[in-house]
Formats: sequence, structure tokens, C-alpha cells
Amino acid sequence: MRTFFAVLKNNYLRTLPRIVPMIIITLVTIGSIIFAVYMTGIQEVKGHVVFVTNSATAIVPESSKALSVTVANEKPPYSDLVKQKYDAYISVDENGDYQIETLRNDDYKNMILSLLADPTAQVGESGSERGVGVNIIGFMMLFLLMISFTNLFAFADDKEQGQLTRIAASPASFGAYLGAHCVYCLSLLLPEWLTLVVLEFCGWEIGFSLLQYALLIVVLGFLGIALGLVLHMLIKKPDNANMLGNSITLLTTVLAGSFYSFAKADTLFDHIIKVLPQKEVMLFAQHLQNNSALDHLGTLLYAVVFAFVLFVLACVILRRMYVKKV
Amino acid sequence: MQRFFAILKMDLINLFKNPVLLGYNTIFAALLILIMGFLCGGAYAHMKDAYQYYVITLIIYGMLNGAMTASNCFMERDIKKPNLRIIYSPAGGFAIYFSKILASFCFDYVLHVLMLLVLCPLLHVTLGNQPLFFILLMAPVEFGAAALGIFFCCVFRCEETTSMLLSTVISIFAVLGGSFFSFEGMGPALAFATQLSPVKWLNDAFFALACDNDMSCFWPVFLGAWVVSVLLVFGCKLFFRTEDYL
Repeated sequence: MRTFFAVLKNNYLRTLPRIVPMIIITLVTIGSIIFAVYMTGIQEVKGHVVFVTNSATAIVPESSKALSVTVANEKPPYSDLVKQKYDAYISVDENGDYQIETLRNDDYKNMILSLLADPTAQVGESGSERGVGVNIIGFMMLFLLMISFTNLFAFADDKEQGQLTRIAASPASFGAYLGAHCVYCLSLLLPEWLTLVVLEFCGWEIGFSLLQYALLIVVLGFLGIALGLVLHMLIKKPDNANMLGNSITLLTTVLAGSFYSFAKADTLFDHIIKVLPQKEVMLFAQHLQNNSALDHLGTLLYAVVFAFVLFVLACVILRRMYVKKV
Repeated sequence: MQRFFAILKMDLINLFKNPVLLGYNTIFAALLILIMGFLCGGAYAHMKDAYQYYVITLIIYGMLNGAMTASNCFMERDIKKPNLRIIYSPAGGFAIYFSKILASFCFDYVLHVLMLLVLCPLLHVTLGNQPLFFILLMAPVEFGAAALGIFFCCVFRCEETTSMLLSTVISIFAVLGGSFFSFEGMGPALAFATQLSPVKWLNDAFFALACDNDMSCFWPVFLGAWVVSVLLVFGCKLFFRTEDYL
């Protein structure tokens, strides 16, 4: 127990010189929470189109909730289509028919046509709506993972500078030492949770209960720690490990659809990315929103087991590398 | 000059021998482009239009991340001690940071151009009628990014602070500028916020060059990026204090 508290206290003292970057990343995370709350309220427009016409008498289709129409005399450059500034360019030919130039597929073209004919038409599936809770977890996920593994810096420093070998040789318990690092990392995720507490008490709609958020944050934090330990086990230099970790988390988290769900349900791709623990956490959050979380506990369990396996693997190998050597 | 080239050569060798930096600038960047293009391809009539978007925006993101390469090669623990010796040698302080800027610029530029040479034919992505101008315009941006990385190192003098700050600033600007998703269709507030991001200006210039063969943005961006780079190098000179470099 003494090791545990000594290491914990030491870690907090070592935080002080790095307080600025930590505050920054925490602020960014908090910003992402607020952004998620803001984004959920926005009505998504189905398309931005440009109506290209030279005559002043042309009947301009009206903008509606689903379609925003801009009128221009000249066709905007092609790059605006690629940049998704506009989704389609529309002009009227001699017969009075709409000519549509777009990069999107035919479904989209037909949707625009029906919207032009009748602005109030109901088009496209509304899809599974992501509530505010799912958005908050999704937007926060990348930062939570990054924070929890960059905060293993104390452990990484110990390892790089050979302190780990000395700790392993001393009577201090290796488990307590590692436990202190984990608790330290998780404790630094507290400001995010406190933000949610504040939002809740200010009367904002945040989707899930505070306890549910705490659970999800702890799971994500643990996942980040396990990933960090594995990386530090594989790579000697801490900054290289961090850089690789940042890339891996960014790629897998975006793939898992944390910001925006790409995968259509039940495609081959959708099944493949279910391997990712982040995807499972997102699925769990979705079920939580639909009040069917208890039936789908397996999704969360998968993430926990995944993290646990990585964690144990890293611990065992680290022990072998640094303890047995002595 | 000879002294400077000796340092530059060592820096280049160091960079090319670092597997993580190599992978980050080639495999990771290419994977990101492929995955994002593949994911968003479903909404388009042709997959190549999605790739067209992501090849350009993500190569710009990669170029700006060159700042991380530079700060990594400047502040790495193993390299600090040799650098400290160079400071007190006749080569002087300027050779140290300028050679790091130049080395990471060359490293990133070569890797990114190679990546474009492989990806563009493979994904049927066009860089405009004259791809040479596209590649030419990349140079000052890469150089500016490397100078920015070293400038941050000189100002903050701590590796963790620098890399955390840099990656956060670059990522925020990149996300705002539409490197991952286009924000222009999401309400007037976000469309305005997008315009504030320098990444957005770069995106516009490169898109105009690649898709419209429009050269009007070439000179302003080209010269602007060089001016910023030179200013940053001067900033390094101003903030680089020998005694604090440890």
C-alpha cells in the first residue's frame, strides 16, 4: 500500500511541469463535449445546390428545410463540388427540365429532383438518430483515449531511464506500482466527468445519467491505458510510442464511427470493424440510448475484456523484460 | 558551410533511420487517405471523387504535421547532448536549428511526393494539368510547417509541451478547415468558423489548382508561405537561447 501512495503522490508532483499541455488537452476535450451538445441540435440540411441561370425571369426553386438553394449567374468552379461546398449544380434546359450536375450517386440525384418538384417531400431514411449522449461519448472518445495513454508518461520515463529495473529489484510491489499509474491516469479524466456534472446541474440535456457516463469514461480510460502499456512494451522511446499511439487511436476511432457513422448496417465492412473495441463501446452507447443496454451488455463486456487482455499481456511481458533480468 | 552540411547529413540520416517517423509519414498517411476515401466513397457516383477530396486534404494535414517531425528531431533526448556540444563548437547555434528545419523539410517533402506519385495513378486522382505546380506549391508549406515545429520548440523549450500544443493546434485547425469532413454544409456558424482556419485557405488553393487548373491562388499562397517561413526562422533566431537548451 505504501508503494501505491508513494508512486501516486510522486506522479502528481511530476505532473506540475507538464501542467500546461494537460490543461490544453482537457480544455479541448471539454470543448468537444460542448460541441457535441451543440451539434445534436442542428437540423441537417440534405443538400446545398446552386441554381445556375442567366435570365431574370426564370422560376427559381425555393429553399426549404431539406434543401438550400443558391442562385448564381455563372456556374461555380468544379472544385466546389469536390470540396462538398455545394452538392449539385442545377440548370434548366430548353424543354424546361432540370439538368443536374453532381458527383453524388443516382439516389442522391433523384432525391434532389423530388425535392425540387415538391419542397415538402419526405425523402431519404431518417436513419438511426444519434442522440446527444451518443454524440458526447463519440466526440469525447478520441481525446479520452489519447489523454489516458499520454498520461502514462511517468511510467514511460521510468522505463526509459532504467528506474523500472530498480523498482523491480526493490521490495516495492510491482502490482501496486502499476496500479498507482493506472489510478493516476484515470483520475486525470475527472475534469471531463465534472464538466458533465456541471452541464447536468445547469439543466442541459446530456442524454445519459452521470453514473453511466462514469462507467463509459472508466472503460475508455482503461482501454487507453492498456493500449499505452502495449505500445510502451513494444517501443523503447516514449515519444515514438506516443506518436504511434496517436496515429492508431485516430485511425481506429474514426473507423469505429465515433464522429460520424459511415458503415451501413450489415455490410461486410460493418462486421469487420466490430473487432474494434471503440465500435463496441459506440454500439453500447447506442443501445443505452434506446434503453436496451441490459440485453446488449456483451458489447461493453467485449471492450472491457479486450482492454484486460492487452493489459495482462503487457504486464506479463514487462515483468519478464524488467523483473527477471535483475 | 562544410560544417553545416556535416550536421545536415547527420540529421537526415537520423530521420531516415527512425522507423516510427518513416511509417507516420508514409504508411499511416496513405492508410488514412485510403480508409477515409473508402468510407465516404459510398455517397459518390465514383469512388475516385471521394479519394480526390481526401488525397488533397489529408496530404495538407500530413504536410502540417511535418511540424511534429521537426520538433521530434530537434528535441529528442539522444540528440540533445550532441547538439549541446555543437553549440559551443565553431559551427554555432544557427546551424543546429536551421539544419533541423532543412532536414525535416527534405524528409517530409520527399516522402510526401513519393506518396503522391504512388497514390495518384492508383486512385485516379488528378493534381491538375500541371502536377508540377502542385508539387512546387507543397514546398513552402512543408518548409513553413518544419519551421513552425522548431519555433514552438524554441519558445516552449520542453518536448511534451511542444508536441502536445502542436498536435492540438494543427488538429483543431485541420478539423475546422475540413480535412476530415466538410463543414461548409452544416449551418452558417460552422461555415464561418471554417473560414477562420488557415488550413481552409490552403485547401482552397490546392483544390483550385488540382480541380479547376486555376492558378490565381498559386502566387499568393506560394509567396505567403515563404514569408511566414522566413519570419518563423527569424523567430527561432530570436528565441533560441543556448543556455536554456537542455
